[in-house]
Amino acid sequence: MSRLPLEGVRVVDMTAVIGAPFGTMMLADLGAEVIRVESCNYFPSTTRGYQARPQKELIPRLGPVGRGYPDYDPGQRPWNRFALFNCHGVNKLSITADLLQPEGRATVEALVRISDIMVENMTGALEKLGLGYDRLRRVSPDLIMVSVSGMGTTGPYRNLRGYGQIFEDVLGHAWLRGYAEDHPQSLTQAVASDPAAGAGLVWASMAALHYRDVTGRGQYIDMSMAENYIHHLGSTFVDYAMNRRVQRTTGNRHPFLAPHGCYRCKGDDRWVTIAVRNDEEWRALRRAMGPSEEGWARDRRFADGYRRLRNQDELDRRIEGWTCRHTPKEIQERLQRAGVAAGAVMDIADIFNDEHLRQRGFFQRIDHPEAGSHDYPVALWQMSSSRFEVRQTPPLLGEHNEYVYRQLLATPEGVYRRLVAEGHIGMEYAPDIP
Amino acid sequence: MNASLADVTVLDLTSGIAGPFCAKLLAGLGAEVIKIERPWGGDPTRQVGPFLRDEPHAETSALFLDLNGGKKSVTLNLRSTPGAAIARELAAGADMLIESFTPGAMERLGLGYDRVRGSNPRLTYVSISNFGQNGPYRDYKGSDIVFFGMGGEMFSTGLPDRSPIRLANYIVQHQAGNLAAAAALMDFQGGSRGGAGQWLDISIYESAAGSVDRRFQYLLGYAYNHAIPNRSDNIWAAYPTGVYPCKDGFIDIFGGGRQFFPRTCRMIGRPELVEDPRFASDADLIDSGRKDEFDAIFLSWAIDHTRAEILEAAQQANVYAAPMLTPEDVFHDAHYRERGFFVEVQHPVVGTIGYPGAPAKFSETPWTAAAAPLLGEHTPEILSGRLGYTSRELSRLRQADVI
Repeated sequence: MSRLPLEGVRVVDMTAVIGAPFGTMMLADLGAEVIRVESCNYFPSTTRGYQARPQKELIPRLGPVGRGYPDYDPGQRPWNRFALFNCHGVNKLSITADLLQPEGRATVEALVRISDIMVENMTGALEKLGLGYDRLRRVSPDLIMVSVSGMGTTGPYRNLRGYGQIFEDVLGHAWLRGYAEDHPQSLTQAVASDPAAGAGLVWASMAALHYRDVTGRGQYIDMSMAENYIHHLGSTFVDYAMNRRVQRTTGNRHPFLAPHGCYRCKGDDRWVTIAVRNDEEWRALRRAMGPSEEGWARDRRFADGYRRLRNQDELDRRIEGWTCRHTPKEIQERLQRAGVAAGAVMDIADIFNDEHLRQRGFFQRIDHPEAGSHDYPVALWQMSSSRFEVRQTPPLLGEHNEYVYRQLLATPEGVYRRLVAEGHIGMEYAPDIP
Repeated sequence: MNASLADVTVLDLTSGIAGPFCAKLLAGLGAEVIKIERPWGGDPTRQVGPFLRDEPHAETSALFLDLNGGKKSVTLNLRSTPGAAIARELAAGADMLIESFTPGAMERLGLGYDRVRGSNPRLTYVSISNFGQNGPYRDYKGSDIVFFGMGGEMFSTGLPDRSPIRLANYIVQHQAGNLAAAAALMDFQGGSRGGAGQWLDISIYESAAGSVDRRFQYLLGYAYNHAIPNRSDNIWAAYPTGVYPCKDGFIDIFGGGRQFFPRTCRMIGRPELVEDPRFASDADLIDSGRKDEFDAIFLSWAIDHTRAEILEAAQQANVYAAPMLTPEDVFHDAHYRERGFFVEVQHPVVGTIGYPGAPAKFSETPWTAAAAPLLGEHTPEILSGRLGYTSRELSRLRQADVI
């Protein structure tokens, strides 16, 4: 196995849902020992499932997140078979502890004592449990603690609960996207702020780790998903600050460039995107479309960027007249060969089978003891001497109780057995959890 | 030292969006970021609007100003022999090098990884490109809409009877820069811990395929059961979910399913609906016909209430709901103001600029907000101060169009 950059770094992971687990996954992928602390007595929705024990017959009817079980079958222990958890669970360890009991809180403190970084997105719950930063820094003075929340830990919206979908309204993204004509109720469901927070917590904790290496001092990081994501729309806000302009969506069009859009292709619900940045690329597109389109494409109404922008409705209609006679892949290849940015709008099957991603090793096979053998997206980028490797399959609930309690925390045998009996240590959710 | 990366130097050979965003994050964390720009015109985003008062000017592009805050600008013609040599000198003293040229271009300039690491084995060398340094699409051109479409999320984004729709502005490229900053700092940590730095190959396409929206989950969901999300899919079949109009705008709500539905009924003053046989079973709560019935009830309540009232009611009822804010609303909103999020910086051409401030609040090492540099503003400072060039040598380089 190659040497990984974060070998020797230990992370306590108390994250749920999507964004923050995506971040701690990257820390684990790059070699940190990431220990998830979960509970047999509390089920955070949308983490190891929508419910702990969903009704099998309803699963195919749930949305794309909720239905993510192998063959739509939740199996005996559904929480070990849920795609959303397993995709972000790679290379992590899982233990259980009931934080509502003093023993559970003591376990967290003991783990923090031997760790470098604690990441949580429990929206204030840790504070209420007496495990806030003020307490944990007394346990471990040089701790780096990252709290990820929707809106941050201070300010009028600090208690605002929700998922990324909700926060993207409060930061302006929902307003700025969607179809131009029936803005803004055509809000779509893609949520980009979650993975942005995941990457954010990684650079934030790494910057803090470097600072600690130099100065010996730990610190607390309050990461607001909203504020983190506003940077991804930064120029919109600088434009407002400078010009008092309130930008609106342009749909698939670009404010200055044409043609720029998503065009229907041959086949059922098949589409291609094309983005032309200058006259040279426009001429390349014209040549690539071939003689059948020469007549209209040479029209002086499309001769320069300004005129293409002004006559965009007609331009888009004409281009779609051409694209709808070809498949997305044909157009992608033909236009890219001509030096024009164009790409098939891939559905999930297309991308899963994409030759480029396959050649770059984006997918790797994982044989999971309860979910079966499948290809997982793993390698988010490539490195010259380390590799993205699956050192640990996505952990079963409580899979590493033995290792962590016995080996890392040196829990005496009698205490270990008591923690099992009292419901701290286990591999099943309590039977009364739906 | 009161910034996390105060002792870190980054050589920034990027232009456009993804690379500059990566380097901007490092600058905000306190690194000294030396941005190399072409002597003629500089980073092409300097020519991209919107501009101050909509008058094109190399120093007033909102896009450039936002993406390059806190950096130092050095003009350098990398295609000239002395220009490339100066870049190698700077790389020898840097902790990280970030570049966004097309694959192969750095080698041709004599700045490829193998050559540069020779004089600096601990260097973290980050290449950000459209599709990566290898693979069948290596030389493809890209643009945000193309990445989003190929990345797989666009197909299921939008309405079923309409075309797929992209997200706002340059979202995918920003996320690629964000990931690159995460990758760079993890690798830098490895170097600090006694390892060597590495060459990181970041593909914007892969960052779309892997990390815009719930990509991992959707890809694994497909591996698990061959389900293909499309534009008819709601994230959750449960209702009410999504955007609804209200008295003074729009709100977004996540208020359905076994856990939330009873709270939503209480929030709108209709607690009896919890017992209503139409909304009794788990199956009813994801049924599209029932959804239409409930939406009518919910809408008649929403349209009578303002965004602020709904936010208040949702907080009390523990329902996930929030107002849709415009960028103007956000800029003036009391929440962001109280947190001191937007900051003002001084710029010699623009004057005072409002900038987004700390993307994360560090208790010990606050975010550094500073204006973007003028083209070539720091050329003498870096070349003389850092590399020891005399003013005579500088004027010779200037005459030879190297700087």
